[in-house]
Amino acid sequence: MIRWILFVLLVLYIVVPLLMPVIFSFSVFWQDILPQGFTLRWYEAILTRPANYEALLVSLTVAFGAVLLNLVITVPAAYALNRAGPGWGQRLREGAVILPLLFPPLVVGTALLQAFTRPPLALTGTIWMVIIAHAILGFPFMFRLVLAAFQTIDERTLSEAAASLGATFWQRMRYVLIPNVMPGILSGALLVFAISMGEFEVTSMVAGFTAQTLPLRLFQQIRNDMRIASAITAFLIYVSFLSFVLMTYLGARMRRLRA
Amino acid sequence: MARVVVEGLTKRFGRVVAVQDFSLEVEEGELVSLLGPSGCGKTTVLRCIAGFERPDSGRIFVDDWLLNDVPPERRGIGMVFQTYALFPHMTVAENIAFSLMIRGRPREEQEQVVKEMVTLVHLEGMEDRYPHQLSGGQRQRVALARALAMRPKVLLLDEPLSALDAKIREELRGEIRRIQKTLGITTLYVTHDQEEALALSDRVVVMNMGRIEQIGTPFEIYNAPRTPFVASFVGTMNLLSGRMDSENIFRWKEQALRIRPDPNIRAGQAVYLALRPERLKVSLTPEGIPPVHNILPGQVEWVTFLGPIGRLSVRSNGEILLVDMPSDEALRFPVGSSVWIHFHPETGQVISRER
Amino acid sequence: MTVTLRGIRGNISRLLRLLSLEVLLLIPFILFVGLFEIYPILNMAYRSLFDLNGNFTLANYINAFTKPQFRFAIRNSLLFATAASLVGGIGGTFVAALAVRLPARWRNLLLSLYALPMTLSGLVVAFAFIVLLGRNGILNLLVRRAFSLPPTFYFNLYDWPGIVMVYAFFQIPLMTLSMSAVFENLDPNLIEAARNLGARSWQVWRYVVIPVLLPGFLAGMSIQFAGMMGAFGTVLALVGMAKNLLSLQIYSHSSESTYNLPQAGALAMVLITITGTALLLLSWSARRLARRGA
Repeated sequence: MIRWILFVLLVLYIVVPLLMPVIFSFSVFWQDILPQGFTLRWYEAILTRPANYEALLVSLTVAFGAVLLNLVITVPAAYALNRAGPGWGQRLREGAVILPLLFPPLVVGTALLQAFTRPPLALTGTIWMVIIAHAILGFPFMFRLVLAAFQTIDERTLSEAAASLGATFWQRMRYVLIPNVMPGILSGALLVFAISMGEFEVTSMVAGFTAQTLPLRLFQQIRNDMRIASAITAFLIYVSFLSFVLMTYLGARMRRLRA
Repeated sequence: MARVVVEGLTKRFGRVVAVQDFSLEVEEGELVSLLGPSGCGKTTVLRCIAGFERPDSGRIFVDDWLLNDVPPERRGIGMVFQTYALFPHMTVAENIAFSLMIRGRPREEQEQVVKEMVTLVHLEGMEDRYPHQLSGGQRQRVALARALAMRPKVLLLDEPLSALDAKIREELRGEIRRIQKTLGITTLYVTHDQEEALALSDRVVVMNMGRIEQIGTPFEIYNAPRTPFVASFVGTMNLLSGRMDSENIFRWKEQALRIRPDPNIRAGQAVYLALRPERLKVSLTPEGIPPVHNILPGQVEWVTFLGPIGRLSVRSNGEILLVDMPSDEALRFPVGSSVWIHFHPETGQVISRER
Repeated sequence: MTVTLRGIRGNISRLLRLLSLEVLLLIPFILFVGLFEIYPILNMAYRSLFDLNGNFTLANYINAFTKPQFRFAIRNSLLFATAASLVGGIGGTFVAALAVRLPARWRNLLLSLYALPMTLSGLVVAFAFIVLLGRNGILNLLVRRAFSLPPTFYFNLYDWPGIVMVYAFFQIPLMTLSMSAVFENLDPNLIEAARNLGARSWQVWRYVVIPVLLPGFLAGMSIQFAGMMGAFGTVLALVGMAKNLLSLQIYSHSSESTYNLPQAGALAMVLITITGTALLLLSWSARRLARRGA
């Protein structure tokens, strides 16, 4: 019994704070204990005010860019490192996990800011820098998920089975490996997308004025207009929430096939 | 069908020698088992033949085709894995048709082959199931069908039954042998289970620490082991450690035992005398033992009931000898009773202790 | 001539074999991490050794340890990161311990829910807590009304305890995820074996459960501490620069009015050193414990 009371409390611990911006965003105003009225005006403001709308577009561009970049980097790396032996392979696998701990986003941001100020790579303040920064932040998460996918399907044995049946490298990839690690890749992509959509810290360091993302816009609005801020906040919560619902679904799919 | 020839195969992993100077010829349509404890190199041999490992030296042929530089996907050698390695996102039919699908064979041919294979391995009606909906035994049948669907020249099986329950293991063992005979396919079978190897092979290769200990028919391996390792690994064996007094007298401590002379064994050589428990006899009195038999006095220390047979542990000359007999007979010997173990000189095998 | 040619060809084929497919597939990863993570950090470390006019100096590092502003920042960061990690570490372990006792369905629901904060923006969480617990937040209003307290009475979200509490919203779930994996790996046979051998329940904890869990707990704590040393987004959203943290100093020296990149670089190097030392210490003790447990 106590166990279930605790369970409910723990669920509320996450749900209640996240409901606040959501309720706020649908209310005409909320000054007292209970909110007043129902409106979609603040969401409308995201789409109708050019500054908000552009920030949304920038955020989506950056998030898709970071996902694409990570697809190119993580999938081959996870495949190779899953095959690499216990020696340097293990060291690289661990390194990919330690790196983000040792170099937190703040440090990466400061370092990126200084490194690419001059041609040929004058990236600081451009949307490219933001995409790269988000890709770096998302990499360890995606790498871990894709690597786990290769490990769970026992990639080596599946590849060998396919090879013994006459499949070439590309056929093994196309018909056997990619379909089986797809849930892992998609989960990773969703995670990178969700992280990128919400990222504020590093973005605020490297973005400058040209690439204002939704969270940067939110940072201004918290000081100016709480109601529009609430709509942006709620929108970011929806993005995270949807990503996780999809990831949970993909995870369940993967478990089902493995059983 | 095809012959497989392996010549002087050696494979190292780092500083560990997994396989050393392995040579074997497998005849057309023959089923040869590689038998040995885990880590003896038997799987490595198989993986070299399949092309998953590159030999450090030695050559591998199928008929007269040198395989060393041929990638696995072009060897046309079928393989069945211990973990089944079915493609989890494909149905039984899709798994079986895989080799034809990637070769771009027409749909009708694929369907035809699937039908044939499903019948061969008795999986009718399971075509549309996914691997996770099948039992272990059924999964291994699919894996076998999938490997056979591409009409391989050679079939390799890597401990195909060791993940299965005893009952299903025995049943599937018979199936594998039946299918192999029907198709007449040259087969190499890796196992650590000696009973399995003896039951289904034409010949058995016993391996230990990367080397071949003995090659022979199951009968030879069981009845005429040539090394102490083979004697102790295959079945249960009493190994008496002693010396040859003359060419037909074996000295075990104080006892002199008459044995069949072996042309390879000289007088004075340090040897083992290997005696199968079921070839030894026991009586409560020395009377009535044929005079030609060797006799060892002893005391019953323990009686083990093993279902159809009973096993006496008899202490003789300070060591324990095992004697098997029908279990109702074994129960007639009370623990502690004095007994006489006796056996014909033709029984038993002398094995050199020198290597 | 032919001999050298053959020699070269031999070398090339040996090189190609070394450059196996696996190594080729790692190239994008190595290029990316090298160019956009390792190089920038080395570059930053190098530049931190110069002043704004480009002359070599150690002043940035001397400043980091002598200027009161920076010394307080380092001290505050250490205290804040330790406090937040402890709250997250203990809270997360508690949640994970409860989660593994739930039926699979509810456990998965709880764990999925606790994965959610991982991707949430620090701003989102700051905003949520302002609405909930700000000066006129719902909870403060409720408590004031219920007990007829004056408006001067409220839980202060904008001081250290409040900041730690908001960060706990990230840290507790993070620890829950690492510890639930650790708990699931705890073999119930171990506990049963200990019980069977006559251990009392405190002895089971003292000699079996805690030694098995501790390495995972310490690994989780490293993640907590490292994350908290570098955290600043939520603080910035809550109190701006009103609180002095090492992370905020780095941020303001690289992006705000006090712009001084070499100084920011030096402070970042100090931060890396602190985090690295903590990680080393924790992984060293975890490995020692694991070895003793084995």
